[in-house]
Amino acid sequence: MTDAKSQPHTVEADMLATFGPPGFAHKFLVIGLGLVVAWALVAYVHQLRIGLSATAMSDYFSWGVYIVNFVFFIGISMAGSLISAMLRLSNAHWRHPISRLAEAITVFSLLVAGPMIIIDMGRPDRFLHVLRYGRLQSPILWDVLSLTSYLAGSFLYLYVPMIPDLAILRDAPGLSPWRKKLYRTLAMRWTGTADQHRHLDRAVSVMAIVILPVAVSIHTVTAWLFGMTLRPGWHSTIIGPDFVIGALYSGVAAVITAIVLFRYFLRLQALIPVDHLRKLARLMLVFGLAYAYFVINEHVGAAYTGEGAERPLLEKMISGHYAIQFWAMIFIGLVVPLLMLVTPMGRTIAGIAVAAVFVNVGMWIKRYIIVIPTLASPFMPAREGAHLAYVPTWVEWSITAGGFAAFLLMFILFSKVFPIISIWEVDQTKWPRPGETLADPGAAAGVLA
Amino acid sequence: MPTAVDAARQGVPGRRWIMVIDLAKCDGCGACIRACGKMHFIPPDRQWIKVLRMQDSEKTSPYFFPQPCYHCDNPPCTKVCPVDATYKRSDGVVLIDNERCIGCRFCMAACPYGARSFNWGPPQNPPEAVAKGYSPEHGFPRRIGTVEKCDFCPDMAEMGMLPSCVSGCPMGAMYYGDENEDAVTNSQGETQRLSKLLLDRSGYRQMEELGTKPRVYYLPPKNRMYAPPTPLAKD
Amino acid sequence: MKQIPFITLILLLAPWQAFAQTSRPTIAVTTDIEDGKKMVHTLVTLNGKPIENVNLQYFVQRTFGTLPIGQDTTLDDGTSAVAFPTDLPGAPDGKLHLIVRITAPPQYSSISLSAAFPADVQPAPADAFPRALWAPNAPLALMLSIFVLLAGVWLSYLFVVSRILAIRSAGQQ
Repeated sequence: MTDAKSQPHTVEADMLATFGPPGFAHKFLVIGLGLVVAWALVAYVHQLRIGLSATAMSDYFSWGVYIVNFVFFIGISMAGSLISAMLRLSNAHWRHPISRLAEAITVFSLLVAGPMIIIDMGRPDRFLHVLRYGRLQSPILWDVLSLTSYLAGSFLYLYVPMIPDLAILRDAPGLSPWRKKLYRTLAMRWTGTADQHRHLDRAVSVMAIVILPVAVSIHTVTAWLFGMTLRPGWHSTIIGPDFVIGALYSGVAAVITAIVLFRYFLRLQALIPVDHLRKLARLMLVFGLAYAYFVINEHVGAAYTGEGAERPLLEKMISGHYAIQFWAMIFIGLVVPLLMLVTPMGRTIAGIAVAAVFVNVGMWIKRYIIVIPTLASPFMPAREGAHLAYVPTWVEWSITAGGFAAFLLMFILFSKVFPIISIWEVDQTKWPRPGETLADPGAAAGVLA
Repeated sequence: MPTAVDAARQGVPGRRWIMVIDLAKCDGCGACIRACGKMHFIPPDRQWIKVLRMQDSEKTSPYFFPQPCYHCDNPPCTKVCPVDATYKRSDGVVLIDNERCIGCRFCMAACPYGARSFNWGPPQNPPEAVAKGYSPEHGFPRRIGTVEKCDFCPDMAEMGMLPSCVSGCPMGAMYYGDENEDAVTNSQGETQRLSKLLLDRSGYRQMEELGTKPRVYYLPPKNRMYAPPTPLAKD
Repeated sequence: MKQIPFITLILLLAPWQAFAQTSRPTIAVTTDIEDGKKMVHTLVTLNGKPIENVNLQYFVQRTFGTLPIGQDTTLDDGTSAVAFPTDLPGAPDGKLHLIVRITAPPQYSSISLSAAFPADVQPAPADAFPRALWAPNAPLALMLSIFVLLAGVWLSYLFVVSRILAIRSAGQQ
């Protein structure tokens, strides 16, 4: 392995350096996260043996933390579509260094969300019944179809723009044989010809357009799992858009968190300047204000009218059994991070990072607030002797931790095999489009001095 | 996806089972719960028919409210089932196929009346239950990780026998019959014309505004035969 | 000499038997239209003679019990009548199975007769398995919408895959 310091300080060299032998931090993280995932598997095996009685769920609290996790991970999957597709369609060139990282967030969050649903099933051994007996009238089928489509689309959207990078790596000297073989297979014989550029551009343009409605659909149909029931708090007309905006909000926060971590651990400060974080922070502020608007709209109707079953539900959240979680969500998820972002703190990396972490924590609590209090507020009074509390068990928390650990682990392993920053889009000298010159201002956007 | 409805899901031809519960006669004794529980080997942690103490508002009278599954004609539960494990038959009955249920519990989330229960842990199936063999028409032996609920005792109805809750009611508060015959009968052998009973006694359905179209009607607790339950404590 | 008690028994029983034979009234049930209304007529006779003041309860047999549809007392001509339930749906065989039961006087109680008459109404047959959100088969509009959306998305994916393959074949040179 050649010494990175003796190479010119290029994007390619920096990214190749990230493939270097794992440092202590890397080993520690991988082993640590691996242990958390292993422990989650132990917990799941325990659940397979005694059924869902291993959780705190009961006939009234028939959905719990697994569904909260599912909705949360679907929620952060908006990251990729936002950065790759929305910013591409609005010609924001600053997205180049971060689009692959964002798209990876999408793929890995969906890869955690899917199993989380299977973990929640009472009979995971009958999963294939969904394919064999599936009813198109069920919102679960809509979710399965949408999630499959979104996962497939995100895989394509992660892979296709990576083809030129894979070609760079295929041609790079000093890489181990298995890497060379992998890159050569995946590089699709890319040589940067005019035809190939044309095919690539067409493919990416189509993906950018198609992936957006698919992304909107996954959040909408996930919202409709709740919206198509009759329960107070769930049966609301704005729940679809609420989930979409919430996904944009938590998706940006996830991207910011990932960037801060990768910048630090992989020393990518030069490739992702602070300005990118500031732009993302501004996006997070806008989405956060939009989400706050939705939260207000969600509750103001019930508060004003005091209608039927909505009133006890609202009371539980404002001042009753779920008040702590509700106000924690409001402060940690909305008030504090948004205030931070409008002050000078919101221009520093630390401030932006902390705000992003707060948003993600707050948004997990928000998913909890969506699922649990409604189950605690049934239309009919509870029967005598019914079990009326939901305190998640160690099994549920272990699997939750395992989900987050698996997500991070997949990310770390991905960044060790594939360049987390798109070399050819940042350094446009690598695979120039025939006919383009380096004097093109768009091309210079991310090139290092 | 199946397009033909197979035999077990058809329903008794020409029948539309229906129930009427006279709240003026229910004294909250819970005999219906015990009769149903005995017949279906129901574990003590769940009830297929509940007897709730209701009080619609502060100044209105409390009353006992037996609540089985309503076998709605616009059932929110069958709509959301991803695998057609819970289904509505031609005789109006909504059943659950515990061999197909995947345990997603969407039907439990969708039912606004909370009529369904779940086998969270490994079920204890007594030998008599196992001996009878599984059928969605009686819902045992139980399977872990699947949903269950009141089944309107269609196997008994087909033989001309009232469901166990109806025949077990000492007050004769529950009536059961065939809507197509326009007649319902209670445990005391009183048979009444369904349409007349509902008209004369102002029958209604629970939370009609939800649009679920329940197949269980209630007769308001006017001119009660018993003293009302103690008023509910303020929540 | 033993035959004497036997003969006595027969002689003693005979009048009872005759009494028993003649003490069972006969009920005959018919329907007809009277003043534009369909009625059920019953004639109660004992040894051919009509009996007055016999209380009759009329029922229709239903699945789980007998539905009372009226009661009447016989007139001096032994007849009684109640309105035929023209709006009561028939049993699955299309008939109303009427039961007429004597409730008074006590010596005739529990004597009953059932007779079947065609019902005037039958329950309207309805399609129990329409295409519906709650039924096994989905509404066509739903199926079409989902199919169109999925086709649009996955055909686009196929196009993208075709571009990937085009990149590869363009790199053959």
